[in-house]
Amino acid sequence: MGVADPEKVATGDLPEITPGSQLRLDVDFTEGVAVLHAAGEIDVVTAPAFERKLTELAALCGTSTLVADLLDVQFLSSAGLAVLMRTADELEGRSRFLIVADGPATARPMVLVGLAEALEIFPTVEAALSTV
Amino acid sequence: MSHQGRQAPPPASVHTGGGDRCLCLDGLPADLTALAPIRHRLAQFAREIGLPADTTGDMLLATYEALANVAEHAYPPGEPGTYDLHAVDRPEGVLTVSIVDRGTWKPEADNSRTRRGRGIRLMHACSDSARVETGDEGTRIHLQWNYGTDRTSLPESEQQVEP
Repeated sequence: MGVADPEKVATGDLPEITPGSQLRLDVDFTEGVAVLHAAGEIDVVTAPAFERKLTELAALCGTSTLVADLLDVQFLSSAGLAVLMRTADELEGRSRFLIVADGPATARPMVLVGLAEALEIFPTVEAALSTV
Repeated sequence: MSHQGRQAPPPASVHTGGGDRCLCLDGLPADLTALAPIRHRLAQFAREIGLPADTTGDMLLATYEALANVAEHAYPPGEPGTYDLHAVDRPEGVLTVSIVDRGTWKPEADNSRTRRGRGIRLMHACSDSARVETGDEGTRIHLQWNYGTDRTSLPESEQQVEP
């Protein structure tokens, strides 16, 4: 997959809709920063697609910054939390990994299992990008 | 989506007698890919009983984590099993979700490499009470939320104490 056509990434060949659980993944590139907008449900079934997309973007954006926008995620289970932690582990020391989350469906589970201390979490995409 | 028939909504019964409101789903497949429809059905039940939004989020997450554990670990690979899910809402604002399987319970340990193993911690953190009873015949998981206004069932130790 070529870096020259980043729009292709947003509509890649990943199965974005899985039976039962729905997860939509769209990508924005702004000044070398990749923002992955997730919308829907991140559970055991959809977490692998979420992880594949993050891994793909981590490879694309090299030493830059990767933002995961979860504002339109209505459900985030421990499978999704594990993906966020593995991605943060993967990027440690070479890229920043910023998470945008707010409210009971996403920010709350992260706080409950102690991820809020381990990850950089912002309430809006703008707030995350302002630190880049 | 070609297996739509197999993914049909489970048969459900909602009783409203005696003041209690119940959602009873029996013989559900212990299969990870079949959990989302159950979660959606529980969300509908939460709307039907007027469960507050924050309690609904906690209930859906805690129950999902319990069900994911059942689907992943209760039965050996290639040996499909089933479980029963009963949600009972009492008029005083106490919601209980019980999950009963005929398999084994295996809580996943925290793993620093795969970063998995937070499911059971979430199940406890997102409920007012979580109890797992294991036995030869299977596992019973009881989750409870106390969302009523008088919250009379709160243990005394949780009351505010003047410093």
